[in-house]
Amino acid sequence: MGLADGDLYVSGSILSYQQANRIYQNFRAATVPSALQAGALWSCSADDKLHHQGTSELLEVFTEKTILTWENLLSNSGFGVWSQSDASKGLATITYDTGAKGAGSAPSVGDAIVGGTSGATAKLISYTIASGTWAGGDAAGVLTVGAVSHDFAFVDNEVLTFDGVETAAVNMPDSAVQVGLVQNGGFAAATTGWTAVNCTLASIAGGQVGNCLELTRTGGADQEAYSANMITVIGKIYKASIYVKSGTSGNEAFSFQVKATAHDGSNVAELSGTSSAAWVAYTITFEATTVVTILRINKLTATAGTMLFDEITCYEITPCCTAVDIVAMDGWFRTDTGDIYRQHNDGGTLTKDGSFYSLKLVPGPTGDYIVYPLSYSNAEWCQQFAGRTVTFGCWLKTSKASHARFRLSDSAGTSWSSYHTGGGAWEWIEVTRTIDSSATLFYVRIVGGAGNVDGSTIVYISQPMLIFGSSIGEGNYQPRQGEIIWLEKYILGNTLHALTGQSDKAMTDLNIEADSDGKLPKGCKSLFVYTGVKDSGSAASADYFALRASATEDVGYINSVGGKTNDSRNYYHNWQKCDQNGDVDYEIAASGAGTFDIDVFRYLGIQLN
Amino acid sequence: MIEIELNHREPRDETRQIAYVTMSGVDTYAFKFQVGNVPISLETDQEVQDHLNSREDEFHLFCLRKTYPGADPWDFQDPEKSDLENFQDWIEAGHKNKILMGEDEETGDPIYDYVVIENHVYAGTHPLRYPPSDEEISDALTYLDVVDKMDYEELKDYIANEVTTLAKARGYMIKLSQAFLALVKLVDSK
Repeated sequence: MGLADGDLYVSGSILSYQQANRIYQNFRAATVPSALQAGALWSCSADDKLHHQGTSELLEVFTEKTILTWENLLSNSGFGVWSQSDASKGLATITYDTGAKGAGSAPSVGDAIVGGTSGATAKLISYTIASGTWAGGDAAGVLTVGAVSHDFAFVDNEVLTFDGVETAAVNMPDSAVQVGLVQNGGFAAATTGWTAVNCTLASIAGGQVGNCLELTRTGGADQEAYSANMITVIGKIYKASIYVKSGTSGNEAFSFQVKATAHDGSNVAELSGTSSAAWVAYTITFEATTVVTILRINKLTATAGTMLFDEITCYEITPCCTAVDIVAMDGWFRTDTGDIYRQHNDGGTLTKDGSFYSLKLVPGPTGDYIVYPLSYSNAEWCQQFAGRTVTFGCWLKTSKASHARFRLSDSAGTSWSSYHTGGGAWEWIEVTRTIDSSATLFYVRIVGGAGNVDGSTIVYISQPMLIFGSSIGEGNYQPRQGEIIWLEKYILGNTLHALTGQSDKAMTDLNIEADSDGKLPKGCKSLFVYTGVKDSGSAASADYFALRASATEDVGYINSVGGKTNDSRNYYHNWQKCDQNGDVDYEIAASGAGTFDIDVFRYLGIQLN
Repeated sequence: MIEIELNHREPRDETRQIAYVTMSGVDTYAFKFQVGNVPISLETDQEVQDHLNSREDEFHLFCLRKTYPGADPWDFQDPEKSDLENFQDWIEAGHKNKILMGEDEETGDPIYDYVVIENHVYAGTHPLRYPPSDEEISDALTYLDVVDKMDYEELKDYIANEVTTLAKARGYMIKLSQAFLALVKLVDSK
């Protein structure tokens, strides 16, 4: 029913947008309208307050604002969960020279890089040319790389190959900061950057790759070698690796420690083991707690002789998907030629205030995109949108015009957003579409155009939001509250999976982000954990593996094998609440020394805050 | 100084064997427990014994933890000391867990309380009896001849000595030990 100025309102009528707007025009005034009936509301343009005329001529003024919120229809909109991330997740910059085109022209975005000496691998994100040319064989500059394999150290003068075509050489002498964070982790010619305690150090042949570090005891119950200072960012996740082999002292106990601030500072992380006749790799994943971190190696006996170490690396790691497939962060997928990385919070530069992580899309030479959801053509997904108006919005950041935008698509057509201006700042962009009533598919696609190796075409994405409605508005993003994500692929715990021969262990903190190699985000609310444990003396002993949120809370998860046949494995899965940092504590009660095995430790799901 | 005596061993899997040991010197009594991660590559009893002896501190700490269930000595973590030394310091300081209770409202300083962890008798890990070897059975049968030749006083002393050894080995055997002593006294009174 239509209304005109002066009409009396009819109880039960519904106003159209135009009618509501007319009322707005009539009843938003700087002065109180005359002949106002009791119960009337009007908005005063002078004080921006809502006024109510009471029945006894009492006037009430309301100043509170109620912000309407909508449910975000996107899962994992914070880009925190990456259960199918690449195994290699290192980030690094490599100074290079003698860059040559070989049979190609110049390296392209997304090229796979291989170190000719070390065998280390990486993916090219961007690079600079400070001097020379690839055509002239003398290009020099800096490579920015991701998906770096942690096992081996890129070393000075090593030849790098780009997709098997172009070549360049690492130009990072042992006296300088190395690829990643460790100075001279490959010991190619010397022990520069490493300090000895109770021992002498030498670079000798016979390493895992080329030369290695030989530690020779000169005294003390144990001997130590520690790295130069590594500059780390508090809160970021790093992975350190080392190869160990027995020397002339035989198979002996050693430890590999991550130290805060100084070589004798507090332990950030530690692993221990016994050296053997063959080179064996060991890794630690940790969260930096200080701006200076040191790696320390310890030969833990007073036995005279040597112990050998090689390929000591430390990289910042972040989950990524760079393989030739469509795998992306949980709930999303991508084109198989584009590389995506999770970007850690940096206070609003490459991440946007309002979300801890952002997504870094590195388009390949022909352009790439990400899509939500995986199930975009399932009827149960499409039907909920049939005939409904939806709006998608997000923050984009890129340095190239007419390059980054997104679209809503159904089986009847597509609605494109405007492009990001390419000015390099974060811009909020939205697009609205009424989905076809017979839609058999519906998805959101965020697109980056052709990639450029100068880095200008990288697209950063933050706070995507899909709602039922016609407008979101900048600043109105919110993730799904208390969202539960069942991981597309289970994640093995670094610390506890396949941890055998354990004795009693008192409650110990487990950093979930580090333990999952960064695949799980900071600040989880709870975890769904699956374990399989056994004990060689369980028949006569109350043995168990337990989790709790914090020291002020009781055990919430317990896998008990007490009373079961000796070495009979018990499986159990359940939820465990996390502490305010998103971490948990774990405890082992074993029957004897080295009797308890944690054969299986998997994360199957999480609840986000 | 503790003593670790290998009693028995058996394979566990392709890489490990279980060693059943008696340990003494941790407290006023001896007890048995098992070590579940002895390398299978150690083929003789002596090699296994040497291996166990090299892990003396590890087992000592393990057994001390068992006698103080719930111990959480997070405030005794001197990096210059071993885990065993730090735990022994914690025991000597009163074996108390330091609990964070909250913060001082004015200063923001943490407020702690202390909870004493009681000492428990650790009765060991595995059943007292394990399958004896053929050699042990043969020795036992041979010794019957010796016992058969003992006079009354020798027999009484022998029973008392064996009962005392059993009592030291497993706390719950004290009742059985007392029964044997009562039997000896009964026989003695006849």
